[in-house]
Formats: sequence, C-alpha cells, structure tokens
Amino acid sequence: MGDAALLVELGAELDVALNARAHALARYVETLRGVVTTTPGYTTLLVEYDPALREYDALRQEIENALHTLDAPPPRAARVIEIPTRYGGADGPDLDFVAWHSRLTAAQVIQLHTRVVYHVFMLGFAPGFPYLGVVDEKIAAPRLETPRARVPAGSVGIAGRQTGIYPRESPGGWRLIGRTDAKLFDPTQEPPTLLRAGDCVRFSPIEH
Amino acid sequence: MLQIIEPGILTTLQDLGRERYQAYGVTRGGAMDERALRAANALVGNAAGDACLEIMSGGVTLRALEKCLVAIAGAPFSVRVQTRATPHNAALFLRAGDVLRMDAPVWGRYAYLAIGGGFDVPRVLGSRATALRDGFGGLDGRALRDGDVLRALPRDLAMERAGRMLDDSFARYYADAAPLRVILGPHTEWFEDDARELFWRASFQVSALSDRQGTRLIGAAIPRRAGELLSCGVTRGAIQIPPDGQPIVLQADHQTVGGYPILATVLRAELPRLAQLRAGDMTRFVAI
Repeated sequence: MGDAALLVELGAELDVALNARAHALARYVETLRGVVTTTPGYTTLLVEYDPALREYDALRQEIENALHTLDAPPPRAARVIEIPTRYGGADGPDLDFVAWHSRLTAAQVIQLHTRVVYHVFMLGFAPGFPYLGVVDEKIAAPRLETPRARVPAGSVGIAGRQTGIYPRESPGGWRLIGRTDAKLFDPTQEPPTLLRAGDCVRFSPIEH
Repeated sequence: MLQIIEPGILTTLQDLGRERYQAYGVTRGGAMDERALRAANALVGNAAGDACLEIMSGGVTLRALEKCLVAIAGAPFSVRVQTRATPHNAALFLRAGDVLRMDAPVWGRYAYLAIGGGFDVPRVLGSRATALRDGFGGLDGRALRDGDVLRALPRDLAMERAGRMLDDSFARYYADAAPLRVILGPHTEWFEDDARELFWRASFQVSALSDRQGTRLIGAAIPRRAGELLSCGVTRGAIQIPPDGQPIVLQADHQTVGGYPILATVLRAELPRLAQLRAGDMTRFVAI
C-alpha cells in the first residue's frame, strides 16, 4: 500500500482463528527493524515501515518466511473482559426492532447477546471501538438505512453478525440495543484502550 | 507567547502525529503538509517535529505578548507585521505587542507557524497534534479560538535567525504540475482493466468537501466490483473507491481501518503537494 506500507492478506473469510493469526503475526512483525507500526484487520495486517531503513522486497520476504513458521502461534491467554450493559429503553432504542426482525422477544435477544464470549477482531472506526464477533445468527440485524447523527458514548450496537461499543458520542449506523458505563478510551492511559485486538469480551445485563 | 486575535477558518496545533497507536483505533494525525511544518521548524532552529500552528486558508491575526522568533512556511499567505508586508517562508522577529496578520494565499491551503522552542502543550500519546474528531491533543483537543494564549517552550532567542529564508526549491516543489505518482494496489482485483485505464486517463477536481480526513475528488466514476471488503488497516495516501466511484485520498486524520477497496496509494513524497490542493484545483495520477 504505497511506498511505506504493505498489507498482508491471510484469507478472505471472517474467522476467529485466521484473525488470531494476524495478531500473532503483528507481535512478531513489530520486532522487525524499520517497522513503525502494525494495524490488524479482520483477515489482514497492515505493516507501516520506514523506507529509509527497510527495503520493501527484504521486508516482504522476512514476513513471508514468518508466515510459514507461524502455524502454531505462541499461546497467549486471552483476557476476558466483562462489559456490564443496560439493555433496551432509552439505552437501547433498537432492541425492539432487533427482536421484531428476529421474531424473538426482547428478553431472548438479550439472552442470545450475553451468552456468547466475543472475540475482539480489531479496533477501529474511533479510538477504542471494538469490532466483536461472532453474533448469533438469530439476532444478526442490518445497519440503519440512515445512520444516526449522534450515538451516545457507551452504546452497544449490532451490525450483521458483528457487535461493538461506541467509545464516545459519534455518528453511527449500528442497531443500538444497550449501553454501558465502561470507559473504552482514555488518551491519558498507556495503552489508551480498555480492549485490545485478540481479547475476549462478555456482556452482562444490568437490571433496571 | 502569542495571543490569537482572529483564529481564521481552522487553526490547530500540529506536529508529526502519533504513529504507534493505529492498532488502538487512534488516527495518526499531525500536519497535513509535513514538509512545510519541518521547514518552518528549521527556520527557527527547532527540532523537525516540534509543534506548530497549522493555519488553513489564512484570515488569522495574532499578537506577540513578548518578543519571539517565528517562521511561516507553506502556502504563500500574505503576511503583515503591524502594517509592514513581510516575506513568507521566512523567519521573523516579533517585538512585544506586534500584530501579525496572515491573509489568503494565491495558491495552496495550509501554512505552518513555528515559534522558537516549539509550542508548549502537553504530549498526549506521544504527540502534541490536535486530534480534532476525538477531542484530545493540541490545546484541549480543539481548534484555536480568539483569546487563546499559546506559550513556547523555553529556549534562548536565536535572534541571528531573523530574516532567514527558505531557498526557491522549497516553493518550486509545489509548482510542479506533473501527475501525482502512485503505486497500484493493494485491491487491484476489485477493478477491471478498463477501470484502471479510466483512472490513469481522468482528470479529477478537488471537492469542497475535502478536509483533514480525506481529499475528495470529483470526475469520471471509477467502476468497481459491488460489495464491501472486510475492513483492513489503511494508510495515508491510499485512494479509496466508494460505491459511487468518486475517489477519496486518505489524509492525516483518516480512520485507521476502512472497508472500501483501494485502487492505488500516493507516494509519501507527493503528499505535501496533494495536501496543498484546494477546492476546484485539478489533479491526475500516474503509476510508477
């Protein structure tokens, strides 16, 4: 991607194991000379490097070699982070839509959403915004046709078989089913985000 | 110490940005034209990445609250100190009380005002750049307003630098009307041969909707496969083709991941020239 970045494509399917491979590759590539930073995607790793320190061909070769030996990524105990969430009402204005769309009750949607331990595929869109999956097929819901101009901070949304949390107030098109008080991004902290790619996340319902 | 009297359309503190936080969803940010920021810093004897004011399109008035050395580089604003016309791309000595006025440039969009020592705001995630969309960095994470007072980090006044100017090669770079050089890819499989042909042939006009996130182009719609990519990390200079076929070149404040296919990516060395294009300017691309 240009003269100071390269994109490693590991596959085209949304798959947790493939994504974990991208994270393992990131940990290795970050140690290479001339690499400035890496950004995992669903099935990709963007590697930005300093072309004054590193030639494209040599860096590419080194990464290709690593891919062959990376079949068993070093085991890393995934952290499980709990996200206490208030579902429905003003906190989750689309919960009823998702229930209607899935031909379920709101309580069943909540149960299906909280039952899964989600994998953090990547962070993006906004600082600390986690792309989480995989959402139970029964409650997969389409994005809004017209995104909201303002989604409150902490809103929990569904888009297709992904779920995510808006770290700050922003525009957004995901179906909002709940809201959390968890602070997902704090630029004064190091690292600045509550969640990191590769973490596990579980939503726990708060009664209200 | 400088006080903002008129902040103009968009004046922010910028440096070379935060390059190590993309994996957390944090935009790199920093100067739209890094070349001009480095040049302004060099004129006053600063480190290359010290924080400067990034001024878009002029209309800015400042008052020096104490004597200081400043330099303005980039788009050639008409610069006046009190009533005296002053050359751009030059270091200037300001006395306490001097009023500095910058008005619309004859070409270009961004200029950088460096102050001896660099502007003193806290580093956030390793940088003083203003992350406007996310509200941190710079001065309280926001654009500057009238009344704001900006301090410089303490440093001896390098008076002998006053009057120093950049040589002509600095401005000549921007006058180059050659197509912007790009490297094809990475998502070439999303585009048929005739779509690529069209892209090389077409002239594009810079849209008025362009901002620090992206330079939006208007011209021949570039056909592409339907559907969306699984989002992947993206870099500055990447040329995204959304479903309407009108290219968007990612700029300093681009989001860290994107789902539109990328037809080609602009070379780093061309980014300052691209950043200085204004609404209505025309541009073309050529593959290397």
